[in-house]
Amino acid sequence: MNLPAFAIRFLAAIVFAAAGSAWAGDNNVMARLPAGDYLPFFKFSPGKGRTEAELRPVQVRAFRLDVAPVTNAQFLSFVRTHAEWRRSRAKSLFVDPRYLAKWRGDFALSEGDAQAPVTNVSWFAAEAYCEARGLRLPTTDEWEYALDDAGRSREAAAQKSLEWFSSPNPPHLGMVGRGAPNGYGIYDMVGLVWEWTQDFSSTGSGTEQRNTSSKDDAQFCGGGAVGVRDATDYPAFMRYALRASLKAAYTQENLGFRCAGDE
Amino acid sequence: MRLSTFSLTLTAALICTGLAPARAHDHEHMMQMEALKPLTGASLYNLASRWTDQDGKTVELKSLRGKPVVVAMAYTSCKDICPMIVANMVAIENAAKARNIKNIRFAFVSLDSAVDTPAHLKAYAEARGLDPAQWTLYHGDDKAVRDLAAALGVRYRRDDKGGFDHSAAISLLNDKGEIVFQQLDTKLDTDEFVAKIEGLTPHK
Repeated sequence: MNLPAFAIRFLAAIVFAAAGSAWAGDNNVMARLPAGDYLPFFKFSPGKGRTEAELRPVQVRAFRLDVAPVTNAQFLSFVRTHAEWRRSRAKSLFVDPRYLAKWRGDFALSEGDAQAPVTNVSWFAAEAYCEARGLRLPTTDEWEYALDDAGRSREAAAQKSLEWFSSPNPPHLGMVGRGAPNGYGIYDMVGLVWEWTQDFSSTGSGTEQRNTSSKDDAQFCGGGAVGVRDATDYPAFMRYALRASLKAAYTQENLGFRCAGDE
Repeated sequence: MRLSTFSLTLTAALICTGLAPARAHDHEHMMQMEALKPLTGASLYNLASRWTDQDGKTVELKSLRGKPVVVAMAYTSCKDICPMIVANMVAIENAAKARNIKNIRFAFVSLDSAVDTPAHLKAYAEARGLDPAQWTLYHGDDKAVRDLAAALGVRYRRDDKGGFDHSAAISLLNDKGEIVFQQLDTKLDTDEFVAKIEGLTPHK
């Protein structure tokens, strides 16, 4: 039912892109990211015969990534066609009680929020949305690789993150796609919402689960700064600490997502 | 030290096998009754993923409905924490039997979809004397594993040595498939866990 509309918007987006026009607010547009590597925030545990954690690049395959976070309007069209994800019907296994809490009903957005990023969505809901588009959530490596922007955005993103952390949460989130895109043509990696990744739970999977001191914990808690790429990278600490704190059914008013796909 | 305790537990597991046949009919009846009800919102069985068991049969987790289930995620080539997880599950099994609790299921779900084929899982179960009447070992694709891990709160990450860092959680599901208790580390208090099972119906 909604497919033709989807398709038309998608085609329109391609036309925009082909015309060299700026991205015009249709976040079904995806950027193509080439294969490459990046230096992950956490070092690898020492290899054979070594004692110190190692900084090694991680290879990332070519992939596609939404140029902007998924909006309320997009998520609304998804729940219209996927009844099990309506606010009133979603199972408590998959969403906590704050799921889509800013909406005014199953199909009613708050005024002015249509083009703002959808938030108060759980990992399960985000995954289901992406799957409905034949996509998936980006892995943490892919997400961080996109943020790093082949090194082009490193300083700007860090600066923007710090400004973002120091401002209070606004009552209404801004529209997606308003700032400048990065070198891949991607908007809003920082400054608007935090984002789910497919393997968010890979952070915090270390030995703390065995009630011993954790590699990750040590990194978050001061003493282990030797285990990270750059101990002054406060925004990276924040991103990984947030991921480590999440559970898949959690929803937060500043946590959204975007989708990725294989090339 | 850990090894010797483990082999003792294994021996114990090998000795204690078999369900009491007398009440089998009642069990089936209870399971059928439960299967007729709609799933609750918190039921793990809302996950639609399909799995393959150690006999190569396609199964849904939903087939465990109607009984308490003790479930953990691990992988067979794991030398570190997984043997302790399985040993703890076997300890729960034995303690439950000692208290005449028989109608429970044990589920070992593999994190390693590449290596842990059904045949591999069967060999693992046999080597450890896991009673097929009570134990099911599950192989699933990446998505099935990811979704179940998410629902159980199991955190995991592939390490750079071909294994995984992962949570040691052992979860207890009631007959509806809702998580009622989780043992998050390997310091299992067997009596406590079995008391949780006893608090559930139907367990006998």
